[in-house]
Amino acid sequence: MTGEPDHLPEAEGPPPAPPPGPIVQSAAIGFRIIFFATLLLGAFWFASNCRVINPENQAVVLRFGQVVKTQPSGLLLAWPRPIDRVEMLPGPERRLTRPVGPLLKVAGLNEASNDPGAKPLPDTAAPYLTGDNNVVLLDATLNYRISDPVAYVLRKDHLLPALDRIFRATAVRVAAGQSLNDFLVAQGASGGRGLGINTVREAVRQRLSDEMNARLKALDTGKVGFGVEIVRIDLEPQLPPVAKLAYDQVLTATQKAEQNRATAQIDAENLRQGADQQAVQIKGDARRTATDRTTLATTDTTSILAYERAAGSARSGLEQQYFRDNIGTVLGKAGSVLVVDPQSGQRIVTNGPGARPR
Amino acid sequence: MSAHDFSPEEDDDEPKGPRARIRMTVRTVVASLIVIIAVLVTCVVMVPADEAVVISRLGNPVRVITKPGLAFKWFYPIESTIPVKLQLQTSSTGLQDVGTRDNLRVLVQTYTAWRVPNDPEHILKYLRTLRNQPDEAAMQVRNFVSARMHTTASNFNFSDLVNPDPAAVHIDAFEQQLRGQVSPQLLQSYGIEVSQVGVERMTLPELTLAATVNRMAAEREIAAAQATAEGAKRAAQITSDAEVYATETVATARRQASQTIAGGEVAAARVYAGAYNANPGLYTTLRSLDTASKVMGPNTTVILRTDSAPFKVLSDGPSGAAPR
Repeated sequence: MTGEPDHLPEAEGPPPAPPPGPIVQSAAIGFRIIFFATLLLGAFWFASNCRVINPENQAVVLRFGQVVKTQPSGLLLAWPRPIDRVEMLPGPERRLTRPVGPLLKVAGLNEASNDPGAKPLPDTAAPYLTGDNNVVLLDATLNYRISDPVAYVLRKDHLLPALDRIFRATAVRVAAGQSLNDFLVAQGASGGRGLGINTVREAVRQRLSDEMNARLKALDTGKVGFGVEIVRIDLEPQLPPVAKLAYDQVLTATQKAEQNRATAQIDAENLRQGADQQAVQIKGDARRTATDRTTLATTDTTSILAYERAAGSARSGLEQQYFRDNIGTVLGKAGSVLVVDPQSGQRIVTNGPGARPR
Repeated sequence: MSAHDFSPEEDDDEPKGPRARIRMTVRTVVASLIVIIAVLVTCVVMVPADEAVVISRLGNPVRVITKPGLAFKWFYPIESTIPVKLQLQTSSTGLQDVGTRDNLRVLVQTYTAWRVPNDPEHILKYLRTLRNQPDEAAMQVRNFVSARMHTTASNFNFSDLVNPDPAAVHIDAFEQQLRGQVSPQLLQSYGIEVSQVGVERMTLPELTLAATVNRMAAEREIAAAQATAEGAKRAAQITSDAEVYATETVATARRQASQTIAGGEVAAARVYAGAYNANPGLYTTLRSLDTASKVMGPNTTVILRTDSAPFKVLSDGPSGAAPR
């Protein structure tokens, strides 16, 4: 081409062509660079779909639009575009989350709360009618995983709105058959048809997951499903703002009543213990009194019995002896002893040791 | 710069050798291949999965390719392609005010999961009726379902839709009936297949809903008052029970104490009686002296006769010493 020198023999052929000029040589070099760059780019292009799939991912390969294989983690070898198209997806064990999107507000559900301390209601909380003719607001986050990567790749563009709608339909169906208390603490007591309230609420969440999966599976029966499976639903039930304060009042009243009952029980216990102590005191006093009484009687009669035993056969003078032994002591306690002669009217006054000076 | 500068051997004035002829032939073949490949590329149709391609010849749809992969057609403008998406889609009706069989009004919003089925007949129908416009299709689906929702709802009582007994809730039947009504018509009219219908939203008219929420609040206020009263009642009951217990306990203790004291008195009396029986005279004397000793005090003045003991001895002397 342009850069090739002609080596025809000088004697037989025309004179040799003059060497190419600098512009031609530059163009030739430029073309070579472009050629090698193109080769390099071609090599990159050829290997562009050969990649390493990480453990948390998986890949689906579509050849001319047709799914030819799914690849878990490892080395993926595929033809370059436009022959093969590689779609990278989260692995089957990865949990994907989807907060259920908001809906247009329903008229009649006054959003303004009369509780000044209430948190603002999230836009994503939607109202549902419960079986006991109440209204509960549900705010949900869906946790799902990819169960069929091919279906997921083909229909993922429409997946998220469909998930929102399927959840709402499931929630309408479930809420319509449950009471408000099955979703949140509304009455401050268990109302779970004989089961524990937490068990009932967990059962409601499980039922939501199961029914959502049933709806997704029903779509899969026609091979038109979305290739996902609900793993868990994080549900945040709330009361309508207008009613929330009243519900809180019930809980407050219940707690207050419990507090009053506890206080009364404490007072009652104190009263019982006081009564028990008083009873013990009374009984103790009585026993002491009885003992004192007996002891006094014993004391009072000890000397009598002693005299009686000591006197033996000389009982006749016992009273006189006792009288003489003790009359002095008795009269000695008196302030004064006035002795009167009944015949002469003379008086003898003796002052005892207890007499005060006059 | 002229062509002469770049390739002097191609000059018309120069004789063409065998190498030049070969080069010319190669170039011609390569150029022809490129042109042929270019033409072939325009004849190749790629059909992605979940899509169909309608081949139209001069505007007239002649065949539908539904199998994913590569297919062929005549080059443009003889034949052109129209891709039709067959993916499952969902669309909502918006809230519809419907009446139930028991003449109650309820607002219902449903979603419909629909798609164009994978068969040429329905694909062509979808193409002809809805111009291959998913938005137009969604609107038609919405209109169909909204219209049938009224008739379907009239077959159900409100208690079939909302009921405290889960077994009495027949929303599934409502959805099935609604789907049964719209599915054949949508397929026949627009080539749209309905896969699922669901009640996405169910609520009450504005005034009813506001009244419901207010009723909930009122019920809770009553419940709060009941809880307060119940608490006060239980507290009073507890206090009353404790007071009764305390009264009974103290009374019992007093009764037992009286019995104990009485027992003590009896025992004391028994002791006194024993002493009395041993020597009644001595007992009487001793007890009298004891009593007298107890009542004596510094302010006590005892008045005795001189002829009474012990002062008698003062006046009479020792017994028998002097005549009286």
